[in-house]
This record gives sequence, structure tokens and C-alpha cells, in this order.
Amino acid sequence: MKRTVTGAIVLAATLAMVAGCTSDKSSKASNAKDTTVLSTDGAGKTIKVWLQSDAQKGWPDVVAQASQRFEQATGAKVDVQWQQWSNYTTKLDSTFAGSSGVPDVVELGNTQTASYIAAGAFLDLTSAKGQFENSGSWLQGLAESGTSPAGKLMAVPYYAGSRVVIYRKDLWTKAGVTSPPTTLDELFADLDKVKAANAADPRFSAFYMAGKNWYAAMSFVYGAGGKIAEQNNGQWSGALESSQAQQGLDRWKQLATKYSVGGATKDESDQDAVMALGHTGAILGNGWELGAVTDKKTGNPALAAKLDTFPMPGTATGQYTPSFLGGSDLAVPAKAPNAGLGAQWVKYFTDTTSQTALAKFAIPNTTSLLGVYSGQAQANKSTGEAAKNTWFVPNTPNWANVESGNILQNMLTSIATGKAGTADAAKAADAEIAKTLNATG
Amino acid sequence: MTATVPGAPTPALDPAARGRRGRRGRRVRGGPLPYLLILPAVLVLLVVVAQPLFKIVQLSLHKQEAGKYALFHSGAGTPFVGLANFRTVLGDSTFWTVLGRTAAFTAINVVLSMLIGIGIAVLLNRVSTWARLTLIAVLLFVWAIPTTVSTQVFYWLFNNQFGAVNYLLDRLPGVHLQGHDWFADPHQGLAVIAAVVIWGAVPLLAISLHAGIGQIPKEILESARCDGAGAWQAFRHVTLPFLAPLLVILTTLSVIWDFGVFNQIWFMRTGHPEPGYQTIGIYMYSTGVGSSHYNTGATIGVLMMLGLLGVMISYIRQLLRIGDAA
Amino acid sequence: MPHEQQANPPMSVTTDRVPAVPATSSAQPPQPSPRTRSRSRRSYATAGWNTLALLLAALFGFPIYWMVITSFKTSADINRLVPQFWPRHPTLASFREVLADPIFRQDLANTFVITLAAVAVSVVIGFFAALAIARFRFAGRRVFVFAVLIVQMIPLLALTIPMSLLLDSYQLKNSLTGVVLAYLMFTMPYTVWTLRTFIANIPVELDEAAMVDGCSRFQTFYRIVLPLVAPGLIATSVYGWILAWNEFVLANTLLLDNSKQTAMIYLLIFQSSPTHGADYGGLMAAAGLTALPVVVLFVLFQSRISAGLTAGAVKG
Repeated sequence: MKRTVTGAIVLAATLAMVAGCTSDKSSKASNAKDTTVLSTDGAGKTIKVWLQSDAQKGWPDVVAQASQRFEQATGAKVDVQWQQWSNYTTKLDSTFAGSSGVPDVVELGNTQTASYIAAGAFLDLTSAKGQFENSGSWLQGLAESGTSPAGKLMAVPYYAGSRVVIYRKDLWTKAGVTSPPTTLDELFADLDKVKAANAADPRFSAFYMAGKNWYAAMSFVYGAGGKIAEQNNGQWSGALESSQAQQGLDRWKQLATKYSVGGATKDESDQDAVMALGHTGAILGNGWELGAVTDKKTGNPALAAKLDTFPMPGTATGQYTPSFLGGSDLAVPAKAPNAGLGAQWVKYFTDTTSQTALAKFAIPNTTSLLGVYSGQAQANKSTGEAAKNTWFVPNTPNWANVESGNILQNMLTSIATGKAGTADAAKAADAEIAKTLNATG
Repeated sequence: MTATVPGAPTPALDPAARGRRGRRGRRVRGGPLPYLLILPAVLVLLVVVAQPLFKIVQLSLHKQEAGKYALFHSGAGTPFVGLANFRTVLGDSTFWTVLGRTAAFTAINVVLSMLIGIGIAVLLNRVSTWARLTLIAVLLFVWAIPTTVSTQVFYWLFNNQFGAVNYLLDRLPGVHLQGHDWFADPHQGLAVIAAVVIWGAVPLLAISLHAGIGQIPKEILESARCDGAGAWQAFRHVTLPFLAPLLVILTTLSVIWDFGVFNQIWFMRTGHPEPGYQTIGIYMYSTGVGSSHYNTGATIGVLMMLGLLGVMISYIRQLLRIGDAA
Repeated sequence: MPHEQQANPPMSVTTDRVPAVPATSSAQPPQPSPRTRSRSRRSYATAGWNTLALLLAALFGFPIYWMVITSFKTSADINRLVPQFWPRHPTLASFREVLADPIFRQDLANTFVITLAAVAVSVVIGFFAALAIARFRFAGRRVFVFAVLIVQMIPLLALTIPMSLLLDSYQLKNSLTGVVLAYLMFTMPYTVWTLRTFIANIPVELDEAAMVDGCSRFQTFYRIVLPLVAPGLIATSVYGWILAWNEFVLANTLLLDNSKQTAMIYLLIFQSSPTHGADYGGLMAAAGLTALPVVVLFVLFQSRISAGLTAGAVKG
């Protein structure tokens, strides 16, 4: 974790190499100015932008500055409407199905884009790709999620995040743990010590793990060599029943049942607030959640000096449990009333200026700024490390239905509450996953 | 407004007398005026009721092809498929599980609300004025609270770590509920939700029944008591028969309302009811709006309405009688 | 029962049978003497019932009490293992935080506008239609009455999907007007029916007397009937207000912009959002503020509401 600038360069180089595989696509984009997609004619107009509340909490100034530059360039005003992830796809579906109230820019999770791209909900931005700065060095994981199977650009990468362990250094030190664990076994041993040291507090969680936190659970599945689903001859089947997946699930179960108190039926959306209450030893969260835990209004600023991070260790020293490459893309709905202006706003919000400001808080969309990111904060080094080894969901349009159907969450809750054994819950989930992924219409 | 002659049926309750008296029965032919008067209402009914009804049947008879493509491109690719959707939905075991759960949930809610409602109504007749006014005031307050609000209050009360309920029940000897998560098991969770539903339903029932009991002529009750009837017998043989029509109406309405319970379940599970919590209304919304399978959702909606029709037969008969007499 | 579906309190009691009345009962004289003993027994019994009534009042009122005191507690006092049954450090912080959110204020205003419009429109339309039904014979009257009654039995929830698709085709999705229109579906039929009951109880002789004095039929409605059904108007307005104010599903499906949503939607977002998820003080404050207008209405018109209930319960 004592990474130096060398480490950051290695990181950047690694990712650049990987991203470079897709760069040949972008070099095809003409350098000639194609103004048919992006518009600057915005006098008297107001565009509607749907952004998730992560930006509202984490980097509202970045949004404000990009909007300001956009307003100066086009004369159009920006109405940013903050959204919630909860039931978001329902809202998107309802909006796109109709013809009124369609926004000009939408943020989407990188696991959600596939189904909307397949449904033709977005404006084709391929011809304007050259106008989006750094399009040649976008992070591969994000760029892929915004590209249609035919290679068209439908959504522009926005930011990425990886999860690390955020822990109470003071409590761990008091319990006798002086350095972060390097393997999972060490982690569990450390957690035992932390738990024992705080046994007097019935609400204390050595490691708070929400029962519906599928990002965390699947990380262990992939870390053990398993996966969520696999495709054979065009047919998807759930893969959570495999022995490796089960091993991963059992490791997660230990966190959720042995070391976590009170979160079995909840999801991770309020884990920062829970940690801010002071009875938690550690959580698995995005780098920017550090800020959320210590937030002036909704968190506990007193914890600021007591928190630190490390990537979730794997089974062997030097290995990490793969982290979910979360992130968001920005798209312009095909039915947007001001599509050209919307695309223009996306350009401003994803250009170097904005992304450099964003790099303080989240992993930017381009490998060229990764160095900026890692240099910003200690936590960023951990998340940067974690971003080296990531997993992603099955890349198929029906995946969004698995998420909105809460299949994984329900499976995990039944495991965390003890209602079902790991094997049975996984079997039931596999059946549902297969049904959902293979559904037509 | 109704003259009470001891020993004779009160005119308000005697349909024959009403017709004869003609006070309400006398109506006039008004030419075009009545049609003008009902025109706005008819328009509203046509636009806001008839149209969606037609649309939902139409939706249930078409199928949505190719995922969301059809949705986003104005229904392109939604061919007519007759009753295929109905076959699919009725052949899905989830539907029947949900339906069974809804029936059980509704039955428990209705029975408990009616029993508690009747109990409180009778109680209100026996207590001193100040106690009656206090209880009625509290009940009215309860009634005024929106269901979403009351659900969130119960959500907080039943919070596993800081909720007051776990704390209070834990004080009881032999009860260990510290940190108990009421929503881990859907049965327990639905019990909590039922508590919210019943809590909100009882005021209306209790006050209506109390009003109904108040209409029973005192002489009949007095004479029953003088004839040696105990409280329970008086209740069974005098009060209940008097209340019977009101009870039928209230029960039928309760069934209709409790069958369609949505807010309480939705808000108790913060917008994501797990499979074990889904009743038919939630199932319809999750399928139809939640995952945007509008046609399937419409099919479930049609089935929901048809299912209620059976229950409402008795109510419809009452309505027809009212419609005729009125 | 959900307020949204609370289309009407029991509308009428049609007794097709009259309970048997012992013929000799009224002939017996009152008997005073045994009562002295039964009176003290009765007063013990009454005391017992009174206690039960108070217990029930406490039980039913407890959640409301809890909501109110939680909204006045500090964060530290809320998140305690041993709950405080009285706020030891009462604070207005939660209220300030909620009221400082412009979205909450906007949403509350939207709820006001929608509810007011739905109630006003349905009362006007309902009054006219009720007049027609109560005072006139005309072809199609029975069909109309039947339609009005039947509509109240349709579960509004089932029509959410077609309603949202329809309103979108009229460009009324994501608009307050569309929501008002949709709400008419459940506010209007109830209004028609209850006002009909009230109007029917006004003797036709009054109408006729007025017309003899030179009023046209319409003036009669305006001058004679309308003032007399004022209690009915108030009762139906309050019921309609409660139904429209509490509605959630339709509003949630139809309203997309943050600035157009209603207070109920705000409550759900508050409850499920990462920023406020664990902020129960704020949640109770927002919930309390959302319930407040309805409660105030209730307190103001409490007697009218009871009258309306009684009328509905008994008059046929």
C-alpha cells in the first residue's frame, strides 16, 4: 500500500496497454469536425440532465463547473435532476416508452447500458466520437459498456469506481492489529480480534456487510475462480452452483453473519451512515465513501483522521480479491427534445478539465488521468490498486433484468439470514438467472 | 329527521314506507337539464375510467416482442395474441403462490379489522362520554394519517437495532427480541404490515359501526334486557341483525381495499418487496411497471379485477337494489 | 384500508328485513328499584370499560406519538439501544433540515395543487350529477347510477399501467394536470353518491315552494339546495382530500421530474436514499409534515365528518 509514483505509472501503463486494444476503433473516427450530432444552438433553451446522487454527494462542483462552461458556449441553461439508483430502470423505461418528460442526458450504470442500447433508446454518437476528449484512451471496461455490439458509440464513459476495505484504524490498532491483512485468512483472524475487543457493544460490527450487497458477494465468487453465469451455444446458465462459486459465497457469508450485525436484510446504500454511527470496524466501499462517512451534514467528521483503506486481500499474499469495476456512462436519449445540446453537455462533462477535477474523487474515464487520480489521496492508491483486478457482469442485454429482479440480492439475503443454505440458495438463483438471461421479449 | 314510533319499524328502514311517503321518491322529468348536469361526470367517466379499462383489456390481448424495443418505438412489434398472455400468467406457479398469499393476507386483515372494529364500536357504547370522545378523537387522528406515513412510522418502530417495539417486547420475561429483524422472515414481515393495515382500517370501521349501533332504537335493547337477555345475547339477537346490512357493506369494502394493499408493503420494503412479500397488487406493479412488461402486467391487472368481481357479487346486488330504490 | 381505495364510507343500509320487535315491550312500565344495586355494579363495569377504552386509545395513538417525538429528537438520541420515550434534548434540527430542502417544499406544494384541483373539480361535477340523480327522472338514470357505483369497486392499482400509457398519449404524462385527471377517477364517483344522499334528504317541497316564488329550477338549486347540502359538501371535500393527498402509485408512475413529484414520492426517496437512509429524525419530520395538512383538515371539520359518516351509515 506504500505505492510510490512508480506504482502509479505502472498502473497507468497497465491500463493503457489494455485500453490500447480498443484504440484502433477510435483512430477510425475522423478528425474532421462533424457538427451534426453536437449542437451549440441553445439560446433560450434549457436541457434536462439526469445524474445520480453520487455526484450530488461527491463532486457537485465538478457538475456545476461543466454546466457553467456549457452555458457559456451554447447559451442554454442546465437543469440537473438528481436521481436515485433505487428503481431507476423502471423510471427510465417509463420515460423512454413515452414521449413527454424525456431528459436530454441520462447517467446509467455500466451494467445497465446493454439493454437500453439493444433497444435503441440512445442517440448514435459514433460520428461525433472524435469530439469527445480522450476518446482514444477511455477505460476499456467503461468504453465497452457504452458501445453497441455493432461497434457504435451509444454512451460516453463518465467515471469508474472500485471497492476497497474502509476501516477504523484506531479500533483495529486498539484490538492489536497494526498492519492491514494481506490474505483473506489474515483478514478473518484480524476481524476476530477486533470483534473480541468490542464484545461489550452488542451493536458492534467488526465488518458491516449488508445482506443485499451483491457487488461484494460476487467479488468473492470471482476471487474463488467462479462466476455468475456462462454462455454455451447461445444459452445462458447460472454458474453459482459450482464448487468455486460456493466457496466464494461461503467466505462472504462469514463476513455477513459472523462479523456483521443488523444488516442482513438491507442493502449497502446506507452503510456509510451506519459506519458514521461509530459502531462499525470496517466496510467494503467505493473510495469516495470515505467522504460520505465523514460528511459534515450526514456523516461523522470526527472519524476523518481515524479511517484508512486497503484493497480486499485474496487467498494468497500479493493477490487481491477482484473488485467490481463499477462505473457510469452518459447517454443522450433518442427521444430527447434537445439531443444535440445534450451531447454537447456530455462533451463538457467528460473532457479533460472536468475529468481532472473529478479525479480527486473517483476514477476518471481515461487512462491518461489515472496518475492524477492516484496522486490525490491515500485512499485512491488503494482503489487504484483494486481497479487492476476487476470483474464484470455477463455482458448481455437481459442482465439489467437480473439486477432489477433482485435475483442476487434475494439469494444473498436468504443466505445472510440463514433462511437457506448456500447450496440451495445458489441453485434457486441459478435457475432464475438462466430464465431471465434467456428470456426473449 | 325520522320519526320514531315505539314498536313500529322506523320509516327510514322500511322501503315500502319510503316509496309511499314519496319525500325522496318524487322526481320530475326535467327535459334536457338532467342530461346537462350529468354531462361533465359522464365525460370524466368515459375518459378517465372507460378508456383505461378498454386499454387494459387491449394490452392484455397483445404481446410485447423483443424486450424494450417495442416500448421505446411506440409499440412496434406488439401483435395480437388472444388469450396467450392469460395462459402464460395462469400457468406460472408464481402467480398462484402470490394469489394464495394475497387471499390469506386479505382474509386475516379483514377478519381482524372487522372483529376489532365491532369490539370497539360496542365498547364506545358502554363507556362514559369523556372516554368515548377521547377514543374517537384518537381514532380520527389515526384515520387522517396517510398510509405511506404510517408505514414509515411502523418501519421505524420495528427497526431491528433501535426500534421501540423490540425494546418494549424484550422487557417481557422470557422474550428475547434484541436486534430481532422482523423482515428477515416474510411471514413475520407480513404480520407487521398487516398490523399497519389493520391499524389504519379499524377507525373507519369502528366509527361507522358505532354510528350504526347508535341508530338501534333504545326501546328494543331495553326490552330485550328486561326480557332477561344478557349482554352477549342482546348483542347476538338484536344488535347484530340490525347491523347486518352495514356489516355486509363494510366487509365487502374491506375485502376490496385489503385485496389491493400496495403502499404499506411497498414502503415497508423501501420500494423492493422481496418475493415472499408480494401480493397480487405488488406483483402486478413489479411485473408491469417495474420490469416494464406492460402487457403481462395488464393481464395480471385484468385477472385481479375479475377475481374481485366474484367477491363483489353480493355488493353489486346490494348496489342494484339501492340504485333501483334511489 | 388504504385511503386511496377508501372510495366511500358505508353508503347506505338497505334493510330488506326489519328485526322482530316484541309486541309487548313498550307496554311495560319502567322498573326503578333493582337499579340501585345494578348501578354500582354498572359503574364498576363502566370504569373497567373506560380503562379499556383508554388502553386502546394509547395503543392506537402510540405510533403517532412516536412519530412526533422522534422528529424532535437529536440524532444521538434516536440511535440509542434504549429508546427515549420523551425527547431529552428536543430540537428542531430535523424540521429545519427537511424544510430547507427546496425539493421537499416543491413536492409539498405540488401535492397541495393536485389535491385542491382534484377535490374542487370533483365537487363541482359531483354536485351537478348528484342533483340530476336525486331530483330528476330521466332515461338512462339507472345506468348512470349503476356506473357511478360500479366504478368505485375497480381497484385503481390495476389501472395504473393503462392510465400512464393513455395520459402519455395525450402528452399529459409528467404533468400535474394529468395526475389530477387520473385522480378524478376515484374522487368523483364517491362525491356524486354522497351528495346524492344529502340532496335526497332535502324535501322536494322546499324546491317547489321556491319555484312558486318565481325561482327557476336552476336558481332553486343554487339558492335552496346548495346551502343545505353544505355539510355534505364539506364531508365529501375532506374525504376527497384524504384520498388524493395520500395517493402514491399513480403519482409515482406519472411524475418524472423532481420538481413535479408529490410529497409521498419524496418520502419514499428519502427513506431509500443513501444520504438520508439512516436519518430517522428527518424521515419522521418529513412524514409528520406530510400528514399535517390532512390532520388539520380533520380537526377543523371533525364534526362534519362524523355527521357524514352517520348519514352514510344509516340513510338509504
